[in-house]
Amino acid sequence: MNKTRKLLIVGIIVSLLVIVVCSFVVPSISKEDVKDTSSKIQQTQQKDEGKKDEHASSNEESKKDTEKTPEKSETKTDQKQEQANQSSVPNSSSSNMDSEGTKEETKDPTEDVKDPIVETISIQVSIKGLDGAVFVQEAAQVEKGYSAFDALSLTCTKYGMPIQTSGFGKFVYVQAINGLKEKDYGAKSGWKYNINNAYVSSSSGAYILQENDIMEWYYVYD
Amino acid sequence: MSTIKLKKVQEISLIGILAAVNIASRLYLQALPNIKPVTSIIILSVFIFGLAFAAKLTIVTTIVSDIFLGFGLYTIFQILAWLVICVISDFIAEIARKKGKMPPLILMAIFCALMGYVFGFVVSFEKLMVGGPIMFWTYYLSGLAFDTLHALGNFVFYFICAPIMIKTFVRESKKLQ
Repeated sequence: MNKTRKLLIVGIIVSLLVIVVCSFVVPSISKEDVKDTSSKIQQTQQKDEGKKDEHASSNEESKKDTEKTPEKSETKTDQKQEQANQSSVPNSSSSNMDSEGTKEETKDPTEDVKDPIVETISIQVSIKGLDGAVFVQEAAQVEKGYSAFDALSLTCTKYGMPIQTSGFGKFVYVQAINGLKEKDYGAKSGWKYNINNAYVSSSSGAYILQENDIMEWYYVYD
Repeated sequence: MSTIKLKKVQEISLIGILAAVNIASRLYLQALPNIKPVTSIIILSVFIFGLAFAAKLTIVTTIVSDIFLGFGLYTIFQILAWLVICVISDFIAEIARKKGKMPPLILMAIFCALMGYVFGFVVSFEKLMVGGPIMFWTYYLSGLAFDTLHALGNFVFYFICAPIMIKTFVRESKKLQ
């Protein structure tokens, strides 16, 4: 009788200690990560300043820079155009185009600093409920490396739609979106997702989104 | 009152029956958040059958019901939380054994209600492990309303479970031996 109690108390204390140790270990890792990224940003800034000086002095360096710049400026204009389309302000896009035409070279260093922090990719998100009733259909910007589930939860929080899930990480399973639950319309009904109109065999938590993917979430009956 | 000593077969079958009650309640009272007789039954089984029996019952209940409800890191913490409750109630049970009778019904019901808060506190340790102390406190404080519901459920279900379980098992134990 007393043996079991001692055993249980020891077990509980040990597991609590493990939890406390874990709580100390986990935040320290995240702090280091933050430091790493901040130091990288500083390095890139220094590099850019160096580039500026060289650009002024030698012609060869300036050629390399101009070779690099068009790609970046293109991607940036694309993003800005899409943002402008979303906010439905047509003037901003045109003004950006003009300003970049004139100040292309002076703007580039700041872009180089911004790029390593958040690399975004543009995707199409659509969520369809019963009989193809559209909950959401829009073009969205998500961070690079986001999974299909991350993009879904981002969209749902944006529109204030609650989602119910079980599991976590790569094993996440979507039970309900906006109150429409699995098994509401038959035992085999539930939520599925397509990428580029094709079935994906992996979990939504495991599929990493690519540039220009068309993600579609839809509800199926039996 | 003293704990009922069971043979191995009787113990296994009783764990099966009580775990089945717990699992059925966890599955079919999902509509009521946290209002379930599981904690009350576990505390009562500590008083009637002893700590080892209750610990086994806890583990079986949690694992089997999470097969239906979904596994997660919280499964471990649910087991841990109910084991903590088992140990705390074992200390009370020892006092009761020395006195030779169960404590008054209302006092025990209040004790069960307090254990609801203990459960919520221990389960929140999951977030301490995942996201540090700040996440733990936010998670715990936001879950306090549900802990209150848990406490309320324990309080009500103790009044339902205690007379049934104590009477039946004490009566049956005389027949068994």
